[in-house]
Amino acid sequence: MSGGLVLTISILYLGLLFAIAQFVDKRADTNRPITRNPYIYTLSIAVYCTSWTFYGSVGLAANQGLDFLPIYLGPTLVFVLWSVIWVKIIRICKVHRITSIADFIASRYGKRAGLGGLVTIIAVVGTMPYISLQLKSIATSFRILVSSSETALLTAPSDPIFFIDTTLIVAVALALFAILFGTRHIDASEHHEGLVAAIAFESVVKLVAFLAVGFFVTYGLYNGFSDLFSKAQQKDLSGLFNVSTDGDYSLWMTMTLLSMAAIICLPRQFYITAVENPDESYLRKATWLFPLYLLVINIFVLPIALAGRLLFDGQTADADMFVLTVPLFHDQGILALIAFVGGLSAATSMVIVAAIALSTMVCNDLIMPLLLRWRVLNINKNDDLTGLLLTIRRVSILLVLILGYVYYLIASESYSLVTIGLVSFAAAAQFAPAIIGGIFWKGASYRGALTGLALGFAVWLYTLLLPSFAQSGWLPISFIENGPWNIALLKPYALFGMEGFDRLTHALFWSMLVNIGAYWLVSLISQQTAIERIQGTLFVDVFGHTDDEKDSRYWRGSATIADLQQLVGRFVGGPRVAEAFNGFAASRNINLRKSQTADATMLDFAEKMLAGAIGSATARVMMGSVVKGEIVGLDEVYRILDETSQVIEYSHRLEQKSAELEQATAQLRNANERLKELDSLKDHFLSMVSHELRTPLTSLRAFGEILVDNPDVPLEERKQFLNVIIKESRRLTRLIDQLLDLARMEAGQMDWSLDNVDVGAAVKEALAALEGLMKENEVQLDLDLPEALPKVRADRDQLMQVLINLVSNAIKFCDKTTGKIVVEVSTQDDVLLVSVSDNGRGVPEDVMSSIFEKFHQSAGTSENKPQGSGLGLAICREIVTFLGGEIWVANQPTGGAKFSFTVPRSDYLQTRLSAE
Amino acid sequence: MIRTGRKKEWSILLFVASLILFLPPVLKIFDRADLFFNIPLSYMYFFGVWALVILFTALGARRRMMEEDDRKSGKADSSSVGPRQEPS
Repeated sequence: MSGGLVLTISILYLGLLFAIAQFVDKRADTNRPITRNPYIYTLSIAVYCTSWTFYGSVGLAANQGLDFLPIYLGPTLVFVLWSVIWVKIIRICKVHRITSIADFIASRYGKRAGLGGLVTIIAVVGTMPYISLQLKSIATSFRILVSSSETALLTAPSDPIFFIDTTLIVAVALALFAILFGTRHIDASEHHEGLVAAIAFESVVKLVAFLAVGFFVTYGLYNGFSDLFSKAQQKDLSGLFNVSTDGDYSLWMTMTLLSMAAIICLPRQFYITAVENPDESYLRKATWLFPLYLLVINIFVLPIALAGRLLFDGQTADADMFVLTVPLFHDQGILALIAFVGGLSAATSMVIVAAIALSTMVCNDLIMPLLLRWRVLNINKNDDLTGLLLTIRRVSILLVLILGYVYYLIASESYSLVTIGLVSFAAAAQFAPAIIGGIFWKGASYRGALTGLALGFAVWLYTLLLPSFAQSGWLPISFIENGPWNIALLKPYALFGMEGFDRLTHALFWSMLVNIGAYWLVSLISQQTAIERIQGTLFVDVFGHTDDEKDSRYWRGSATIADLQQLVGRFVGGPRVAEAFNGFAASRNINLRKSQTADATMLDFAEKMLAGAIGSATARVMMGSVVKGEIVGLDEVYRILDETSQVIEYSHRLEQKSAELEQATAQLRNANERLKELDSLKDHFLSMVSHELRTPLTSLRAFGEILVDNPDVPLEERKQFLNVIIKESRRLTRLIDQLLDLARMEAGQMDWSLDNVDVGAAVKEALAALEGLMKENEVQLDLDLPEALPKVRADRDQLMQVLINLVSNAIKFCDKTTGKIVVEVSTQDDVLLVSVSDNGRGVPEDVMSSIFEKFHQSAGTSENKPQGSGLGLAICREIVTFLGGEIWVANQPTGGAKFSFTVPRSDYLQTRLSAE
Repeated sequence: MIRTGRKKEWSILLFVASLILFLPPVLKIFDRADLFFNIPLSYMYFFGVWALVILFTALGARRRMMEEDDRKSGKADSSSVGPRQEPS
């Protein structure tokens, strides 16, 4: 077949794809696209079936029988769990506008660029073998088809076309196609309707092509399945009828696990299933239609493989190309061409989607964070960055394909398609712990994910990628056979002496052991930051949080609508953003003014829109540059979000409240008791006061009545009565004055004039005032007053009041016949001690404690009428206590009472104050 | 009719059952090259069980589809955003 024809057909086919994409995109702009339905969605997920499926499965089946099946059973198992895993992932992607698997993981673990970068690097390196697989299959199939020689069917010629390696041409052509195709708009989260439609179309093409070859082989060359199988059995090919002949299923289980991880973790599968999902409910159809697609495309794998083996019996034919070579051998040129186009569609669909997914990751999670860090570039100030973004993406698409080509050159030539593909699967599987753990375990931390991924990736490099270089001669082969530096324990295919397993199982065991182990352990021992906790909660409880409130209240600062619009516009394009903002305003029934300050919901909307274009980690940084003020009250946000902590907080607050309440109750109880006490005191006081008032009043009235009733009372007697009346009135006045004083003191309303007072002078003055009284009672005074007494801090008048009260008391109670009073003043450490003693009867023991109470009178104990109001000592106590001293009474051994009080020395007070 | 609240549990049950059927030791019983009606037993077993798993998945999803349709017919606008509650 002529190379020109095949080239033309290929170009026409790619052109058709382009036309479909363009047509659908055009329609999507005007109205709701007809392509948006669950069937298109399902077919787009079938991008899972690549050249690996189309060519490689047959190759594997031709050598190892049913071993190709787990690659398709694994995805089926995952889709059985759609309502547990996929719905959750898709909802998270929608809510957070996730653009890629790197974005997903970075976003889950606190929007940190470092993690996104690592995931991107793993994804790019891990996808390298996969892309080289596609390049190899396209190049090989092309060469087989254009060379007409018989031997070409057995070993594909590797003559260069136009003196350039065919594979390189294929790589460049695919890169150009992917660039043209995938980087037309910038907002990655907006669904690429055209792309999805084209991929779906490719899935139909490859299915039809494969089934056509299958039907031809099974019903054209043989009479159906039973004929084919029985012929194969006769030719001793029954070893291919089952999985394993020796009962070893470790590879089977490994491949099942790997493919389960791969259907979620392969960057392109994640992208097409989760990011490009237009409607969650489509999943309900896809969940059984996609496995059905897998089943149908696999029915003829074994028959084609058997037919190939029967056909090229004994010859060493490239089993990977049976789909092409079997029809060619039977001169079915058209069918071979259809098969070629099918293989081409399988390869291109994978390359396009993978390139777009990877370039988005490289741009958003690797390059942009670096560019933002290098302030030299002044990226914050550039006005329109959409061009820059597109350039980065285009260059990274080219880069990804060139890398794939490099891997092809280095390692692919000697391997079968499936072996190459499984290396990629094992790399993608490293993401599984971080993703699955991330959506079910809130406690998983950034450090855990980072350590797990890094270690798992390192082990993958060491046990799968490096040995493949060694086998191709790029590293010394002794690396595999003896281990590096001849250390047998480090042999990459038998790490730490673990032998007896196939390479894949061996690599998966070690990489998953360190990956999951580190992820788990480090998560447990490391602390989560607030934003990690928030993101963890948002991801794990995605259904709970999206139902009621949409805004996550991340931003609390202020930015104007115009600022936001400009920022997002730089990355997404001005008109598109204006449209989106208007749509947002309309949906919330508000008017947007440019100068208006954006609220939290608006900020959240802008951040998510930005995240759609440049990834969540970068979007966060960019938003931070515009939003002024505090970025987040993270702990606050977390408290709002996390229901458990909310409950804990409620109960905590309740506890606090009840404790407060208890305290208040106790205080109330105390206060109540004190009030009762005061009440009874008041009653007592009132009765005392009224009694005290009544006594002088009674005598006043009695004498007054006597004078009125007996006008003939002699003048002498009348004078005496009047004197009594005057004396009683004075007593009454004094009593009321004292009462008032006491009340004022107790209420703290007394006006004190504190000064440095000379106690000696005060004593002398007080005694002088009482001289008359002493003479009247014939009392002898003995004054012991040392020279040079220190001054005290006191109110002079009040101090004299105390002295007068005490001395007059002493006069009252001293011995009536030979009354003697001693007044002493002595200096002590910090106070002056003043004591007044008499030679009376002394104070009875039982009243010692209550003698300073109000209205305590030593009545009853004396045959004489009580003298005084009973307030004197109470006043003394009030004054002394106020001045900072003490007052007490003691009986002297020689008889008589001794009242003593202290007053603080002013010099002592000063030193104390200055010390403080 | 299975209650709607149990969908997730059913899909997990189906998952576990499929795991048991597709992995050893059950696998070992059926993984034989003998021909039945000229078809290898192993081949028949895998594709047969696979088809059954798909059938049960489809049944599980179909009931949900019907509920979904009922809900959607009530709404005037069938917007592109999926149903906002957890499918369980």
